[in-house]
Amino acid sequence: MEYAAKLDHLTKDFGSFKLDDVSISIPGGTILGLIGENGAGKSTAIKCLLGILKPTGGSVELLEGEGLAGVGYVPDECPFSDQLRVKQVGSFCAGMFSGWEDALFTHYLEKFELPAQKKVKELSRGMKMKLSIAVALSHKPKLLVLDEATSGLDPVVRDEILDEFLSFLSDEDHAILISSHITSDLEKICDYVTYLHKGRVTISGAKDELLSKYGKLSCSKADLAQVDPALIVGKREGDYGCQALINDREEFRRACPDLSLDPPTLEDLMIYTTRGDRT
Amino acid sequence: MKGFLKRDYYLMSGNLKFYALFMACFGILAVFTDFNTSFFALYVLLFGISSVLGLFSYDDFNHWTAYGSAVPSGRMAMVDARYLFTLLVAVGMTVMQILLGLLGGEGAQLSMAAVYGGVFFLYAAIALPVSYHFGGAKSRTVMIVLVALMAGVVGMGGSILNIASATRGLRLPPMTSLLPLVGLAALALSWRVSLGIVGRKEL
Repeated sequence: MEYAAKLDHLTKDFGSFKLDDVSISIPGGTILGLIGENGAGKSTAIKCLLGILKPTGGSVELLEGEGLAGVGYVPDECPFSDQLRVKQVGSFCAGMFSGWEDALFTHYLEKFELPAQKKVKELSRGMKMKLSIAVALSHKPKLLVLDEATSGLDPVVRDEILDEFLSFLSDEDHAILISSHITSDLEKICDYVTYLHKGRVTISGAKDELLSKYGKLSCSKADLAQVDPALIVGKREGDYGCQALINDREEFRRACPDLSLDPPTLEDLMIYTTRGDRT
Repeated sequence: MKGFLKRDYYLMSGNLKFYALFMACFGILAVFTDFNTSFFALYVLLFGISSVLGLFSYDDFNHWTAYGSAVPSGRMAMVDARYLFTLLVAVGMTVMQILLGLLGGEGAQLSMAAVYGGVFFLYAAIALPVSYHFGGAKSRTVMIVLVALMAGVVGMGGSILNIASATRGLRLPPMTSLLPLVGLAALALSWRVSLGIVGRKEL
C-alpha cells in the first residue's frame, strides 16, 4: 500500500470558517500527525476524509479505493452511551464492522483492563478512550484515524495509548492519522507532521526533516535586529532577551555565523508560526 | 444494520424493567377494577413513542450519528435499523394492548389496538424525519405540537369506540380499521424521506 489516505486540494467552506486547499498524503506504514490550535480545522479535515462532512471542493481517497471498510475511527469523545455495558458495545459493534473479531475485542479489554460488565458511565475518561480504541482495533483496520484521542488524558494513560499505536504499525499495510494539539505526543510517535493554521496547511513534511530545517534562536534584541526578517517565522521579545523561530537553519548559519540555534520542538513550530501570523 | 438495531435495543432495554412494572400495575388494575383499559393502552402508546424518539437524544449526546456514518453504508444502515426498531416496538405495543384488553375482560380490543397502532405509525412517520433533520433536542418543539395533534386524534378515536360500545349496533368506520395500513404506508414514505435527509446531512 503506497498511500493509506490522500486529501487532494480539499476545501470545506462553512462561511465563518474555511478549510482551504488542504492536501495531505499518508504513506503506508507511517504515522501522520495533524497539529494545530483549537479550531484550526483538524477535525473538519478528518470528518471530510471519513465522509462525515461533505467537502466543498477537492477529493479524498481512502486505502486506494477500499474506502471506510478498512478504517478504524476514534473520535475525541466516546461515542458509546453511558448506560451501555462494555460487553454490549462489543456485541453491537460486531454487527457493524465486517472484519470484527470477538476474540480480539476480548484481548483488548483484558489488555486495557476494561471490565466487560461495567457500564460506560462507570468508566473514567481514559478508560472510555481505551474502549473506543479497542473497538477501532477489533475489526482489524488498515488505517487508524484518531481525532484528539489523547486530549484530556493523564500522561500515564497517554503513554500507554501511544505505545499501542506504535505496535499497531507492525507492517506497511497499516497507517495512522492522528490529530492533536498536544504536540509532545506527536513528537514521540509521528513520522510526518502537517500543521494546520486557520484552515490552511502552514507546515508539512517529515517530522525529522522539519525539526532539522527549523531552528530556535535565543539572543539579544540587537542580535535579532541583524537577522534577515525573511528567515524569521515568529518571535518573542522580552526585557532580557528575545527568542525567534528560524525557517532555514543552513541559510541562517551562512548569514549569522556568530549566532547559534537550538533544535525546535513541534510546539515551537506551532507557537511561533501563530505569533508570526499575528505580527 | 444488525449492529445499529442491537444498539437501539440495548439503549431501550434499560427502560424495560420500568415498562414491565407499569404493565404489571395496569394488569392488576385491569383484573381487579372496572377501569377502562383504553386509558392504559394510551400509556402503552406513549411508552412506544418515547422509546423510539428517546434514541435520538442518545444519538445527539454521544455524536453517534457522525460515528455511525464513518462505518461503510452506515448512514443508510442507521436509518434502516431505526425504522425496523419502530416496527418492532409497534408489534410489542400491540401485543401489550391486546393482553391488557384480555386481562380486563374486554376481549381482544383489536379495533382499539388498530387505532393506536395507526396513530403510532403516523406519528413516527412524521417524527422520525423531523428528528433526523433537527436532531433530538431541536425537534422537541415540533414534537410538542405533534403530541397535541395526536391527543386530539386519540381522543376522537376513543370517543368513536365508546359510542360504538354504547350503541352496540354502530360499527367503526372502515377508515379506522385501515388506519394501521395508512400508517404503514406513511412510515414507508417517511423512511425514504429520512434516508434522503441523513444521506445529505452534514454530521
